[in-house]
Amino acid sequence: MMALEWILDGLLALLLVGLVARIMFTRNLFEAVVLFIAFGLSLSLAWVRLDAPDVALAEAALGAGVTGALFLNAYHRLARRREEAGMDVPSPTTSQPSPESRGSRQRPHQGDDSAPLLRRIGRVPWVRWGLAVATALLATGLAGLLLGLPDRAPILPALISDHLDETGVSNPITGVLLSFRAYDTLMELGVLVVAMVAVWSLDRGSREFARHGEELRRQPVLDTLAWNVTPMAVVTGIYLVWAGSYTTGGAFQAGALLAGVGVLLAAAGLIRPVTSASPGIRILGILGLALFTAVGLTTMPWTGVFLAYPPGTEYLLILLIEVALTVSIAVILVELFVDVPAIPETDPELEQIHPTGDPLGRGLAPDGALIRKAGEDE
Amino acid sequence: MIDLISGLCLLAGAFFFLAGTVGLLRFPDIYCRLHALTKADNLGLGLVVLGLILQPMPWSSRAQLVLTWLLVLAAAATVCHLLGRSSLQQGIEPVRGSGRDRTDPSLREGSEG
Repeated sequence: MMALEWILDGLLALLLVGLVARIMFTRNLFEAVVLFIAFGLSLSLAWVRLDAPDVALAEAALGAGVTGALFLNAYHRLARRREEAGMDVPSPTTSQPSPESRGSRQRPHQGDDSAPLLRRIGRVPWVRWGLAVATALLATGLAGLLLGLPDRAPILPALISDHLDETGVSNPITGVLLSFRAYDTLMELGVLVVAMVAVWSLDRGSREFARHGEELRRQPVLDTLAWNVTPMAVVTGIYLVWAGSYTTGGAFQAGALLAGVGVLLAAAGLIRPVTSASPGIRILGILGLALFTAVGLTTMPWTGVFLAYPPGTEYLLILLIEVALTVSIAVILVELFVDVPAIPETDPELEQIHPTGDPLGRGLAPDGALIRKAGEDE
Repeated sequence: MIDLISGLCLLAGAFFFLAGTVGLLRFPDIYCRLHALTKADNLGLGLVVLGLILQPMPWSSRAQLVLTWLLVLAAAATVCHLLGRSSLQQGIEPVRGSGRDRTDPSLREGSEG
């Protein structure tokens, strides 16, 4: 039995490394996106094998699900943009690379004055090699530093379980995330809010998505699935927040699940994208960060420390913060999906990427038609 | 006895997954591949779930497993429908004819008309 587990875990580890290698080295963007989703799911399996169901849940929902949806969305826009550019702008840089050149190295375009300076520098071979060497040195140095650190892993679980009753929750993960290391979690929310604001400041995508949504509207099968799955997923999301205080669950998992519902509804065209102008979305988006900070500040007179909860109120405060975090995470993730900005008008580098193709190596044109391999046409 | 039936179900389920994967890799066009994937995986997962719920476990866990299977069924059927439909709308022609025809370039997709 032990040997069987070793074989299974070994295969899983090999699969993960193989997937990463393929994602890194493939020149087919679509393949990379699809394999990234597969990688996320395999990674969550690995977390399950490591007895970390909380991380597994977060990885499956966020790493594979939401991130995958974001990547597919971006890919779709890239393909559409190429299609439009190919039709409207007849210049050498916008012409389709022939299928034969796919997979072969793109030659550096030295002397292409239209490219930005940084990009031209990036094309000089020795700059690339220099960067590669510098990065490798940096990574080696960091690895050396990490290996030199005293190993505190064995004592941390005991420390956490000794002090868990001080947090007011019985799930150690939630205790760590919202009490011991609440500052980290606050910063994570900050990153999400900044991402949403950044996307809004580039906002040109909502109208395009609205158009896209109308095209998709006539899909009764998808509508049916969305209508039936939504109530179940919302109930599960509420359960996950509630359960987070004593068992597997929490704000990030619940937020990602609810965001998944939003993405499904948006993809089915059942909800309209709301732009950054909508005050409701703004308030919901920053609710988690604002409430978290407010709680941290208002309890300071009693505790003397930022983000410490007064004794006796921990459970209520953590639950309140978790609910607010869930709402904000869900809203921000859905916003990132429906509000991806349009790609800049002319970007020669983007035109060089051949973003399409199916996993079996045959190319797909942006409109979805198969590109035949060289020599298949005779 | 229960263990035997459960094990047989699990093995049969694994076989369907294998068959579906082989179909995905070997079938000539997207429609055949969808057929292989959704049929085989739905049945495969169903058999795996059946094999698992025969094992001793709380009834709530059994209900969760069955619910998982039903959700996967619904999602797979929907995704299959969407993929097939959008492929058709984009003008990807189904491959026609037998396996021998497909190896003949003059009968390849798009050249029937």
